[in-house]
Amino acid sequence: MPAWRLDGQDRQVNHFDVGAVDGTRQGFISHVLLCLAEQPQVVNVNSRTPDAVHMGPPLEERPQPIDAIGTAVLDPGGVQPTERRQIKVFVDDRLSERKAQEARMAKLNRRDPYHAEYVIHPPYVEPGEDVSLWRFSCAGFVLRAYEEANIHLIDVSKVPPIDLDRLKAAYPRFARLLGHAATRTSLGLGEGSEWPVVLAGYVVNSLNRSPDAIRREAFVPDAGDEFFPPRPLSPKA
Amino acid sequence: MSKDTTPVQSVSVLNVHDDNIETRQVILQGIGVPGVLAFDALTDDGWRRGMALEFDEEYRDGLIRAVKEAKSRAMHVWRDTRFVNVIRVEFRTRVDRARPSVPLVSHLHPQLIEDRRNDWVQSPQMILDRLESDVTTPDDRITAVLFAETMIFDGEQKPRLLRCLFKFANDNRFSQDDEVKTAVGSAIRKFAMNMPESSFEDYSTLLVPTGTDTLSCEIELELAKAIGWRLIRAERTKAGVYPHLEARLSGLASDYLATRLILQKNYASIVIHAVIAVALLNGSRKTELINRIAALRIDWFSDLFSRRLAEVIHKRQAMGAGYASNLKLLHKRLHAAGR
Repeated sequence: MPAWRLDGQDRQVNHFDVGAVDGTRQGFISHVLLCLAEQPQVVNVNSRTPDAVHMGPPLEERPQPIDAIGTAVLDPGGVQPTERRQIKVFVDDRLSERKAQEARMAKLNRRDPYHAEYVIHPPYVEPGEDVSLWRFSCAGFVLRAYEEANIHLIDVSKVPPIDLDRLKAAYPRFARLLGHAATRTSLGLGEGSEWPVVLAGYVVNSLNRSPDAIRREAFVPDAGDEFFPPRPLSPKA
Repeated sequence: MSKDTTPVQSVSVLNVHDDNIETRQVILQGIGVPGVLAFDALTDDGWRRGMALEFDEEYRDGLIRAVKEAKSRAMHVWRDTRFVNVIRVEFRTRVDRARPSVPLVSHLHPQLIEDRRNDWVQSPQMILDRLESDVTTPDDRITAVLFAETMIFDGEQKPRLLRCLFKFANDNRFSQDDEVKTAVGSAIRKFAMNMPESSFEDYSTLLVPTGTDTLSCEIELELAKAIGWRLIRAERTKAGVYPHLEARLSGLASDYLATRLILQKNYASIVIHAVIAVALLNGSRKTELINRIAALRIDWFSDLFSRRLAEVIHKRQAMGAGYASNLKLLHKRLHAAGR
């Protein structure tokens, strides 16, 4: 399958493949990113830090340790890098926005969590009057990048809702802050007790299909797909 | 100075938004209420006048620690920081005339001073003050522009902000300094997303090179990108209403619409954003530009442009905005020309 966990075996990672990072629980995917490997790179459990661009936050370009890889086998059978070119235009477009956010963070000496470019739900928000730059979750950044290549990884209209406990488990870095309604609003969640948040694991499970299936239809995630491999969950597990 | 005015060595003014405002000179005056003083204080933002509560240094330092602690607990609030109302001092008026100088010795811990140095970036009003002041340092001006991008300004503040952002972008658009270019990009995006349609022609002047200076491709991209974003939200536009904007965007796209250029740097992206903006303006060269995109015979590029155009059509339809049918015709033309 086109998604796998890193182990002792050498495998190849290609440009704009999706890297995934485990959270505190074994198998739970807490973060996804785009690998930068214009020349194919060998990865295994001992060598697992490819160059990457990802929404940390902040949006940044730097090597990241990964635990799993998912690939849509971009530009299948083609001699021209069509899909990768399209994704590259999108990533490059975000460059100056990224630089601005980087400059803001530097001015604050990273004392304050100034995540103006970050959102949890919806997975991405287009520029507007108040914040004139794209905002993404880590999964949203990957989803939007692939949409530029006409690959719709997840059907965001059919994402299962999750409650606050699961949300905190999915975002351990924000767990304490997510208890505050104001924080949830800042991150796009708003009011309510359940939200259809696109979790990082859904992206990996979407990619764990054949290249044809990936391009043919968007993945509809289910409870347990936040893990890779997926684990069916009891409602309040 | 009047007889009942008491100069002091230092004063700390705790404020809901600003945590603490450093003062260089201060004049305090009793107003007949025990523990309450009127003050005129020279701050980094000029002379401020208001009411203050009187307390000793030890109590003041305790309050500062309490505020810092409260602030650290409230890290989730990233914008318009509002922590506990430990002490609130309202600045009511600004006093511009010169005041007699009184030396001030700060008793604040250096780390607290350092921590507070950049707190003003979380206040839209203080950002505006920095942008409008003639004595703001270049570094603070850049900082103000950067943070303005992610700050919400109210209706009264917006016109002032737009004037400042336009001036900053215009003054610095040819800069080759990376830090300045990043700030110019921020200024352009914020300006474009908030400008009224009556400013579209002014915006077009930012695209004009001079006899000696040309815009960097990064700035060109921001200019094309931001106006594209803005035009998606614009009211229905008619050809010829914004002739300079239309002509300059068409010229920008046309310059890079060549096979040998489109694969270089960020030119593909500039062209996509510029042509979509021309299409949204119903510009006279829209069809020519679409035909040229198709004539390049670069599939990934024309596919990407086609999808972006389709996305714009979808958004305009969802907004109930007019002109989607014209865009659909262009979309069809692109496909017909590509066959």
